[in-house]
Amino acid sequence: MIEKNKKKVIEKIESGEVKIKSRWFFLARKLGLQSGLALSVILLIIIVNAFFYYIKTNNLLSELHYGPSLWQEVLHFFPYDLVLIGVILILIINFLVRKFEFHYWKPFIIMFLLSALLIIILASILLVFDFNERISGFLEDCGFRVPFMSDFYIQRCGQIPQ
Amino acid sequence: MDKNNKKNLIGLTDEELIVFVREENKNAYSFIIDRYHNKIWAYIYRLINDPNDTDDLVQQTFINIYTNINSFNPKKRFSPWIYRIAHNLSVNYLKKKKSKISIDRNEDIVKKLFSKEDLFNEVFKKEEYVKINKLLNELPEKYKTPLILRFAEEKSYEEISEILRIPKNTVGTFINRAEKILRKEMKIFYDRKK
Repeated sequence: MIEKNKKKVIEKIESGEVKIKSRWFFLARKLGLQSGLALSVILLIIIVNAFFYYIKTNNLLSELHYGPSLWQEVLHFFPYDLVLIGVILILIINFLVRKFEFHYWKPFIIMFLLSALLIIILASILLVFDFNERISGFLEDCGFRVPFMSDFYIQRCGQIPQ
Repeated sequence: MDKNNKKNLIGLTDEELIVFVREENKNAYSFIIDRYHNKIWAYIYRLINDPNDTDDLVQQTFINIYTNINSFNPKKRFSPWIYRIAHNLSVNYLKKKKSKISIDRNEDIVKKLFSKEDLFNEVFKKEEYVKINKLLNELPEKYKTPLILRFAEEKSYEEISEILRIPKNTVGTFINRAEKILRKEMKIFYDRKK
């Protein structure tokens, strides 16, 4: 049995039918995964920060105290698109993380909670340090429209009638 | 490969041998096959229970190892890596066939599970064997592979964790739960008989 299986494998190797994949292939794959993961995490932090900024500039949290009609208004103005983008990014991050070996070292739930906490903290830091005001100012001064961002920062933030 | 070279290769660890194959001599790959063929064959057979397809999957495992040999990190252990590849191929095969892992004929598992129990002698009576096999096969899928790796392949929790890509604590939990289920069911079975 061993000789039969060994012979078939060795034959395929010797005939060139089976070849070793280059080191560059694995290096490129690893770099691609790492940069994809880093980019997705940065984007998620920016999206969470934009969500907080939207809530803050439109006073959505204080509106919640004023009865059912305002609840409807809050639901109407809720930034569903940001939530959707956030969910898509979380799914991408989850997919990429599972490609790395470290994902099973700690229970998934602990890793998920720690990552969520870290992302919220970093998003809050951006909020405190006027990251959004700078972007908003830049978008108003630059003279051209940046898809989604110009609309979000100029048209939607701080524009809900109180 | 001359005799001296062969002698030297026998003394190498798996990880050193892999480095040797990818950097010096591809022909030395046959040593990897010699070292792992029987273990991998037994493991795949335990999962899929079909000798002909086991041969195909064993060949595919060694082909995958060879093609991806440059992705192996020699600072890590080789054994969990090869088992992981064999495991993935077997699981995909089972999915395609829409069948489940069958633990029939795994005396090793049964022996080790009940070795400390007063049920040990009872379990090995012929008529009880059907019952215990049925119970093993009725276990949730996620418990079966850790049981096979622990009791039939004699892997440590750490190795099982690396092979199945689940946390080490979860491996322990799965094995303990499976043991509890089996012991409980067997006790109920014997109590009814009495």
